[in-house]
Formats: sequence, C-alpha cells, structure tokens
Amino acid sequence: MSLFDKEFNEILSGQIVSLIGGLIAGILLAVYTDNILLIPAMFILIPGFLELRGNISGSLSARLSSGLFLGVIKPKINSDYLLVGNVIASFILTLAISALLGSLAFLIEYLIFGILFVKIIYIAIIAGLLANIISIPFSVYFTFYLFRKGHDPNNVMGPFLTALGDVVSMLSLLAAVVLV
Amino acid sequence: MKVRRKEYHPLIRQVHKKHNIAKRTLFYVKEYCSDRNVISVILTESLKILILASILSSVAGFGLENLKQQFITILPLLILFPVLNGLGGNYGIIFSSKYSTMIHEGKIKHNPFKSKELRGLLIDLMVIGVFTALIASIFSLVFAGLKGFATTPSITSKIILIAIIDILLVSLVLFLISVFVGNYVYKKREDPNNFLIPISTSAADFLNILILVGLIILFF
Repeated sequence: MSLFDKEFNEILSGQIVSLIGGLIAGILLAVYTDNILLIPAMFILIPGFLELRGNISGSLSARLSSGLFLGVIKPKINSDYLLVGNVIASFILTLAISALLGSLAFLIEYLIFGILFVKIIYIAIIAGLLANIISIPFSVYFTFYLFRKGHDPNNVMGPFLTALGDVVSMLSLLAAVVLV
Repeated sequence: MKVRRKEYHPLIRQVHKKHNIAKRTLFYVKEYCSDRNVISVILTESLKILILASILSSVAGFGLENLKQQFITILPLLILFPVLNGLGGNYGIIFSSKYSTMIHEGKIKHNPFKSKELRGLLIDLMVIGVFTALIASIFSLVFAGLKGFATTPSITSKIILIAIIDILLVSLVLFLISVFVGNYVYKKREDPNNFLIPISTSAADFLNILILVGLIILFF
C-alpha cells in the first residue's frame, strides 16, 4: 500500500482546507487580541464555540445529503418541510448550545476566578445567532449545489464547513463583543 | 450489522420484505418525513451529545484561561490554537468513520492492530499531521513576525515542536479511542457510526487543548 495514494491525497486536501480556515481564525484572534481576549471567560467560550459551528453545520449537511441520496429531499431551496425543519432545528440547537456555552463560561469564571461577567452569556447567544445567519444558508446552498453537479457532498463539505465555521465563529464573536 | 429492533418500527421490516426498499431508507423516512417529527427528532437526537461536547470544551477552555497570558504574549500560539483544534477534530471524524466502515466491511478481524489497512491509515494521518503542523507553525511564526513578535530560533523551534507533538499525540490517542470504543460498540450490536463520531470529536477537542496546555507549560 503506497503512502501517497488516492486516500492520502484526499485526506491531505481536506486537512489543508481546514488549516486555511484555522489560520484565518487564528490571525483574527491575533489582530483583535484586545477586543476578544481581554474579555473575561472568552478563552473558556472559544473552544466550544469553534466546535459548535462544525457540529451543527456538518450534521445539517450530512442529513440533507442523506435525504438527497434517498430521494426524499429535492436539491432546490423551497418550503419543503424536511428542509425547513432541518434549518429550524439547526437554528434552535445553535442558540440553545450557545446559551449553554455562555452560561458554563460565566459559571467557571465566577466560581474559579471570582469574576462576575454576565455579558459573556449575551455575547455567546448573539455570536451564535450571527454565525447561524451565515453558515446555515451556506451549508444548505452548497450541499444542494454539489449534489446537482454530481458530487457527493459528504466528501467535500466536511473540511469546508470546519474551515468556514472557524472563520465565521471568530467574526461572530468579534461582532458580538462590539454589539454587547 | 444488526440494529436493535426498537430502532425500527415493526412496519419497516414488513415494508422492507414486501417491497424490497432498503431499511435505511425507511428508517430515514420514519425519522424525518413527518411534519411533527423532523424538528423534535433532530433536537432529541442531537442535544445530548452537543451538551456533553460543550461541557468538555468548557472544561478544556478553563485550562486555556489559566494560560491566557502566555497565549497573548506568545503570538504564534494564539494563531496556532484554532488550527490545531480544527485538525484534531477532523482526525476524530476521519478515524471514526473509516474504522466504522472497516468494521462493517469485515476488514477488522480479531486483533485490529494487526490490520495492514488500519496501520496504513494511522501512518497516513501521522505523516499528514506532521506536514500540516509544520506548515501551520511556519505561517503562524511569519504572521506573528509581521505583527512585531520576536521570532528567535529558540521560540521558533519550540512552536514547531509543540505543534508537531500535539498533532502526533492527538492522532495516537484518537486511534486508540476509535479502535477500543468501536470494537466495544460493535460487540454490543450497535452501529459504531452513531457513537464513534460524536465521542471522537468531543475527545479530540478536549485532548487537543489538554495536550497543548501541557506542552506550553513544559516548553515555556
């Protein structure tokens, strides 16, 4: 079994895409250090928030892909109840888990570091809402687009959604910090 | 692979036998193709694992919060953090899904560590890990340098070592988790796909941060 076979190249391509997204997110962190990192509990929030986008968007794309291949969803943006249901569920999940992440960050910061900073919960929720507005339509549109072009979205969307999730999460957190 | 009977409505088996429609198709239709069901099914099935993942990430984030000062002052680390987090999560998904497929295809016999394909996958991911960690470190050092951070040879070598060791350790641990948990779940007659991916991605994020914190304390 050769090292640089097709599988190696596929995995490497996906990882490079993810790396680009991570680097952009990291650069945003470095550039806006004062805005983001000097806020209490932000470092507690960031890991979970970065992971959340990948989980939600990735699952949405995977469910839509399954539906497309099974023929129960058409690759068309309309008011189909399966599509609408998936989008609404993803929105609700993001808001619920963002609130949970914010609450956990608040509790850990208060109980362990003794800093009372309730705004972290609002920052998490607003950032979750903003991230949803960008990443959910992107996930839906590109899943359908890839399927219409004859590709398997499962093979392509994973790394792209991870990369997009990193960038969108950072930008959303920054915007939420400014708004709150 | 048998899925427990209570996962399928009894009618699905009859429809499958009579009309030869795949059970998976019917399962998807049962789960998602009802006005009342789709949102509640997704919420019910997703919430538990997302809550667990959030708790793990927050606990790991506490470790990072303790080292906030180091992250702010050592700029390449700050840039590297989302990269290593993303790469680790991807490894969790890749190992889990590929191992589940190998199990389903019967490619894993009694001792999974003797499987050539599995060893090949581990080697592939380690090589890719070293390569991507190296690229990420170099880029992070370059950007940090542009922002005025002093990239001395000592700091450069430490950053590169941290990135490579972090990725290698995460790959190895995820490999072991995928093998042991995958085998355990399969022996319980459950589909590893339903368990391995959420467990691996949560473990990957948690482990990545823990290992990173440990390496930063060691090197800086």
